[in-house]
Amino acid sequence: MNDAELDLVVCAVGEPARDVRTFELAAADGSALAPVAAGAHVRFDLDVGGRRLANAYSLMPCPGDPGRWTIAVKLERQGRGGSRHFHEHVGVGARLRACAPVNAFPLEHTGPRHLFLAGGIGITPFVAMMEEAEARGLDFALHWSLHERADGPFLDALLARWGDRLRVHVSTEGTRVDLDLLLAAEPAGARLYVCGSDRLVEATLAAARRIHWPESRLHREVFATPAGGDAFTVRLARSGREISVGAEETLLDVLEAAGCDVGAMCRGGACGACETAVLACDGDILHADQWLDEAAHAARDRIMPCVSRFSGRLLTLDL
Amino acid sequence: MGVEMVPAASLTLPVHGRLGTAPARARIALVDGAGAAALARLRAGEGEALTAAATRVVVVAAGVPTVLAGIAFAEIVVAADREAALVAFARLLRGAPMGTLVQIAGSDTLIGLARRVVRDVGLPDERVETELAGSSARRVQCIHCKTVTEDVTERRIVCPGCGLELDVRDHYSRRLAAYQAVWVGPGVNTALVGGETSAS
Repeated sequence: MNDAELDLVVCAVGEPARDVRTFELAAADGSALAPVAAGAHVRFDLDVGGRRLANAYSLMPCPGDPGRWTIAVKLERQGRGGSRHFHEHVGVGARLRACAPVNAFPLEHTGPRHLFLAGGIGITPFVAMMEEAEARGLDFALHWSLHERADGPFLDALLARWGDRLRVHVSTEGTRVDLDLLLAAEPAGARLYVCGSDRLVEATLAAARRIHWPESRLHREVFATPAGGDAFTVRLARSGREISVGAEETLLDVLEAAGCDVGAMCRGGACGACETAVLACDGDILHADQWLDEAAHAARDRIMPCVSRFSGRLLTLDL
Repeated sequence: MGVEMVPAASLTLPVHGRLGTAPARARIALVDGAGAAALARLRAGEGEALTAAATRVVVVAAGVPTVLAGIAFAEIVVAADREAALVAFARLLRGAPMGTLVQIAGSDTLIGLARRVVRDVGLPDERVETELAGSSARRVQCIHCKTVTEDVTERRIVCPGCGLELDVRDHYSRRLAAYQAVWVGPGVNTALVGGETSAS
């Protein structure tokens, strides 16, 4: 990762729920970390047994210390190893490298109501977002789906803080959320924010679209992690160079290594900053971003190099 | 498509469409006497696609327009004037469920004022359909003294507020629901500014 700008040190580690650890972070040079808006995340540049992984985590306020950030990491046993690395190798005093915060999931300004839907560890962006919504005087509610109560970090503190604004739905207690019922009761123009497992996010968006919820009012947290894929070749039109993207590399990383600055920010297909024009496409672009809409994907004239790949003979970029 | 391909003037003018049959759980319509026909056409032409039973209507008219009589809307509010109609419209919007489609048909001024109400209530533009029916006369604001003049069909007016001679620009403010009018000024070339069209 070329844009690792922050050198962080872990000041405290907590365990607020089963398989969840919190890490309180400060700047390694002792300076205060910048305050961030609710919904922001940072992407860590991890060295996991010689492999480099880029894992993103939402930032939470650090109680009593505005110059620090807190992240919560759920141990993903089937994951690529980033969360396991945090759980097993990152303790107090550990140094971490991260890119500057990015906010692809901000609290919007308009709308008669703001409905937050979290699943499990997906609560993290909403911890700050509810505080901001309260400070702005917005009408909001959070529905949090958990498998068991023991899976919910900060559950007691959040219930005490938010009372009726927070509804907890627990599968093992048979109080699973009825998405259709919940969404249908919202007023026209309400905004929906969802963060959780892919299954929860997809089910929520599908239920919203069934009742014609406008797309502009659907907000989802996306930490698309660039998946590997087949190797491919890209031609840079301006210099005539051809560069190869390996199976484990992202196009963005290879472009940056080749000296092409495409202005990447979130590196997760969400923010749109690295959008790159495609001049010729002899094959298929494997779009994996949330930024371009279906029509733009079909047009094959743009690519988000942070998450998308290519399958075919040659892809020519306007770089 | 690049922005440069769009004629510059159209970027600052309201764009009206045609009431249609986009899917919706509920509809809220605001029409005036001329716009009522657009709503009636939907009913006649699209059959059950427009379910009157899920449509609440506000009409600016002295009574229920003939073209709408006999249609079993969920609610029809007849307002004697535009202000009362906009208040009733806002009330319906505030109680509207998610999935509501808003349909506005009538004069350019009615549409502009209604769209402002829709935005103030917090509904997104993508769930609003408009259709121009009747007058396209402009609601104009003098940028100097802020006086608003209605029913403007001339390119040049004398502001009733400050007496300046104004050029009515193709520059529409959604916030004000009014076209901007600027002092012609001494020594200024009084020919029409390139490409702009007359208001009437």
